[in-house]
Amino acid sequence: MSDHVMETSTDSRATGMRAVLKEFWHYFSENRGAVVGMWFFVGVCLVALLADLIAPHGATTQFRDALLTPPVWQEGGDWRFLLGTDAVGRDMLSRLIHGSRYSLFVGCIVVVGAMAVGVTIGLIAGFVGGTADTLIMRLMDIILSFPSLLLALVLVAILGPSLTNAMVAIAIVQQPHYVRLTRAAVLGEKNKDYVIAAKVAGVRPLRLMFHTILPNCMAPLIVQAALSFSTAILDAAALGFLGMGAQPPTPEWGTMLAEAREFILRAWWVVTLPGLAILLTVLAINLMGDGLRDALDPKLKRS
Amino acid sequence: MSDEEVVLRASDLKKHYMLPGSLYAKPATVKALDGVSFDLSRKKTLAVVGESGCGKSTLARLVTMIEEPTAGSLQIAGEELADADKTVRRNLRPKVQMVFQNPYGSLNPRQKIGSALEEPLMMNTPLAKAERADKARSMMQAVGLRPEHYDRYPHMFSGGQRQRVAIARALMLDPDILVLDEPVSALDVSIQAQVLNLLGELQDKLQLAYLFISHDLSVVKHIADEVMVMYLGKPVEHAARNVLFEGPKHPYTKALLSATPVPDPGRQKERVLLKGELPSPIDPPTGCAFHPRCPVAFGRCAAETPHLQPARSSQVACHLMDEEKQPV
Repeated sequence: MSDHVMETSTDSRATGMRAVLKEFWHYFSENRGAVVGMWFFVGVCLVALLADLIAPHGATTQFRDALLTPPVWQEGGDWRFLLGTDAVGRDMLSRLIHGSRYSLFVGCIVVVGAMAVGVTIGLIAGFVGGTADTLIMRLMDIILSFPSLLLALVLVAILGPSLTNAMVAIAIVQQPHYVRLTRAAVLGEKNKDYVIAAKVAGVRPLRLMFHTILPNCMAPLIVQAALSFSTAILDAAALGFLGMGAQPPTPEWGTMLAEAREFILRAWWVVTLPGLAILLTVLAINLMGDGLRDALDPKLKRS
Repeated sequence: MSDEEVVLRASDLKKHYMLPGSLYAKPATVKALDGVSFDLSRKKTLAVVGESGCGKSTLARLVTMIEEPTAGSLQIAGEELADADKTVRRNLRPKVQMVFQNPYGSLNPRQKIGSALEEPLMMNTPLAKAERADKARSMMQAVGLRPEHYDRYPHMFSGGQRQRVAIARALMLDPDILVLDEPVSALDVSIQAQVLNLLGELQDKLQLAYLFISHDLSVVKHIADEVMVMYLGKPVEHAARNVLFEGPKHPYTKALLSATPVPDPGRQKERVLLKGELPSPIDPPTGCAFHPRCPVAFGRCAAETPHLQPARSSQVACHLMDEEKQPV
């Protein structure tokens, strides 16, 4: 009788997405910095989404009566402008808030673009092998042999300076990393028994590549995506600073830095605050990326 | 018996791998499989045994159409593979399915059991989603898995359960032939017995032919009808199970059988110990490939390659058999 009860008792351990997420969170939350970084990043995302509601003024509204007003806590500060104003009387806080939109936008588009192209090319290189592999990888080696910012600069110079072209250039510069990573992962996976088993079951090459192999290569790619998100923001800011990215009066952080360069000795806030915004956002994303790597890389897992 | 239906016929099957030459090495050929012939009938089990590197797994890869043979012919259900076009091959593929050695590597870690079982149907049959799920569930029951396992990932199973999943997946397409590449060697002894019994039941129920690859002779003794012993890509002895285990004829088979451990501490061990290592298949010895290690080799062995020939009730590739036939 008791045997019978044993037979029919169902195993009620959680399965599927929720269990996976729970396990992921367990490993992720072990890393304090990663959790702090994640919450900061979530904050930046919220600010970007709600920019129109939060920002006290318009991003390009000029107050001719308040040029270079210092932040409130300094002498001569004005409660209307919490973080002061810039040389043409625009509110720094509002510009920073609106600027977060550009940074996140650049990060997202660049990562998605570079990843989509890079992963596809890498899958083909790893899966097909032979001449195609050699050709693709040598081409990627050539792209990687240039300093990335220099190459992006050249590409923007050819395409013409604008935020869109800067994003395209940064995506092109970043995708070799995805190609290499994907190829390496595919080479590791493609001779495993489960891939051969799928072949014996009659699975066709395209499905084999994208459905069987790719999901097993995702962990390093997710980490790379998180880390290159911050590189993309940094590169976009650098291009903006050099006048090759977003054009004034766009409140892009790098462009803001460039505009404020001449006031560095007279009005520290115009230069420091956009720089600080870039620094904190990039730092938060990097910390979060480290935590992701710890949580997703089975080799780093402590049982 | 005349009513035996031959489902798989291999004749003089060869697989040679080319090693490209480099600055320091000449191009070389690895003769992984060098002339193997056998027939496999419905409901029969042919066991292929031999040490690592003797071509067992290469044989499995040829039979399951993962790789193409270099020479020789392979007939599946009467259809010749060598000159078959793509559609014929696609139609033949479901007839031969495979169970791999390591159940920890042969299941996709990101695929639920249910979808792993349905994938072969999705690729090869026009069945609708609900019908596929029905079939998957009834197959799970047939191999002793519970219905709630349908939505699980492989990492939630033990080795024996995973091997059941792998067997279920191989059976989804109603194959005639199941290639079992050391299906139990990665499992615990207690689990081995369960899986072997399951395989036996399924063979009776589904009229399957097994090509059972193993190096574990006690398992082979349990499950095989016929045994083929291979050495360096060539069969050296091919006989019915009882004939082989009771009277091994080839010196290599004798050595192999004497190496099987017997759980009896008081038994007098008579081991045929082999000298040396398995030679490289890139540069096999002349004549009989086994002669450098053979305890009874004589002059002719180094010069002349022996072929499988009938010797009483088995087939043996050894010059000694000729000597016996012509008593002095």
